[in-house]
Amino acid sequence: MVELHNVKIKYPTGDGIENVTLKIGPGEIVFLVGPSGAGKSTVLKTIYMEERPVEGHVSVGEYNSLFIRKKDIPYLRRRLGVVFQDFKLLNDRDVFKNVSFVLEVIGAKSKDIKKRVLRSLADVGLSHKSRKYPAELSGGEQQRVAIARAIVNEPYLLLADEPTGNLDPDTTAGIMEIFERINARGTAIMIATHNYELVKKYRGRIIRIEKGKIL
Amino acid sequence: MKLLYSIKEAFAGFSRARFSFFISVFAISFLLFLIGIFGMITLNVDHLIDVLHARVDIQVFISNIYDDTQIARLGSTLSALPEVESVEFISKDAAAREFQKEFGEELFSILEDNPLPSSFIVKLREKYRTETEVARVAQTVKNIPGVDDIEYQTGALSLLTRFSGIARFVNAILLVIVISGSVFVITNTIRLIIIAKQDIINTMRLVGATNSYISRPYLIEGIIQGLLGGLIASCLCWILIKGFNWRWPGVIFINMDYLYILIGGGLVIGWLSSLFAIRRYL
Repeated sequence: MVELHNVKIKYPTGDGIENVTLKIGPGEIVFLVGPSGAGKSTVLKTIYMEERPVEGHVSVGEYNSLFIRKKDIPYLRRRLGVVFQDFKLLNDRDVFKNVSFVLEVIGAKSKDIKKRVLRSLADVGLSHKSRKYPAELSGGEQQRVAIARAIVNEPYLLLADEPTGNLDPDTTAGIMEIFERINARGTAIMIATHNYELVKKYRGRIIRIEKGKIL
Repeated sequence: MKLLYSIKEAFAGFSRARFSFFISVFAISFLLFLIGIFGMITLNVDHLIDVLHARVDIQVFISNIYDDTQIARLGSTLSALPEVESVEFISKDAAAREFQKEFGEELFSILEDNPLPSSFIVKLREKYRTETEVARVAQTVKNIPGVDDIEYQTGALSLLTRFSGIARFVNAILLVIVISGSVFVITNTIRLIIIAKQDIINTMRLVGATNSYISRPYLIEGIIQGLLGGLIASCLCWILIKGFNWRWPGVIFINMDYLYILIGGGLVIGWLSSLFAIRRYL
């Protein structure tokens, strides 16, 4: 489903990743574990093609980094869900609009949008807060909105970049439960984290990365 | 649905860069207004030139000793010239009547017989109605037997033609200034709006919005700015024309169509500038 083959990314600062080869199969949970600056985010970025490899190639579904045209990248991203450590919510609109926005962007019908957003918010347990603004929510709640936004389009792969980085242990457990529930429905999940303790507690394949290389 | 979203976003964008928006609409209005004024001057001079052009003719005075047959033959000779559009005969009597109309004096009360020669008014074809061509044709006509004298006027025409050239030149320079100035101010406004909305744009990209979807509101913003500028400029020109015509009736000739050109021009400039801003900053 997703495959990185000998991928190399080089940033002007000298950082980057090298010789990264990995696969994610349908319905899998994969933890990408490593310290800060190891290249975890870069790996995720190559999957949603924010970064294009200077060597090797990435294939995601029918798309391949060697052949994909710039104008096709939005269509690739519609098949993936991405959750960020800093949530990237839009502060000028409420929870419902933050989630519905993804469907508006792809031109879904408004009746359809309402149904899917409400289901997604129910999945993360935030139906009752759909009219709240991000600033009125706790960190854990904001992360759940970000997850609702990532799954509303029913992606086959959910990418989460340090999804629990800023959260306390109880909230972290809540978020991980949501991930497991989503995964149980068949969505593959890749979680990038520096938290080894977290990885030990939950089932899933572990890929270790350090200094831009897979160990 | 998608278009409605774009329009809503476009108007929301203005509130994020209100000052810049007003400055740019003001600047475009002013620049297009300048174009409007010079356009008006050019149009008027051109109109005057057209009027004078239509009047360019050569009066050919016929020798007094020519009889009717010879005059008729001379008329045919003149008509046959390739440069000539029409030939009109003015008899001695007609000339005397014209003289009387002009001087208010019965010519025959002073003189016994009519000293005025008969003549032909020779009108040239459109493309020969220039100073040099008229002079050349006049010279040819003068050498035809039976032609006593000729008369023509091209001084005012050449002066106006020269002035029209200058007006066109100023207009062309203004057009360059207006277009580059407008592109600059609109581009800058859209750049500010894009910077203010960087977060939302990035997020849109990450969730799979296409570039055309992201850029449409900015395109609409540019068009609105240009259109408003064009509208204001054409209103100002309209007021100016009306005021002028009220104060000095009949002095200004104006084809109101050209006000639509100002509006259309504003729209096109707005559209092109926003395209440019999107390419550059998005």
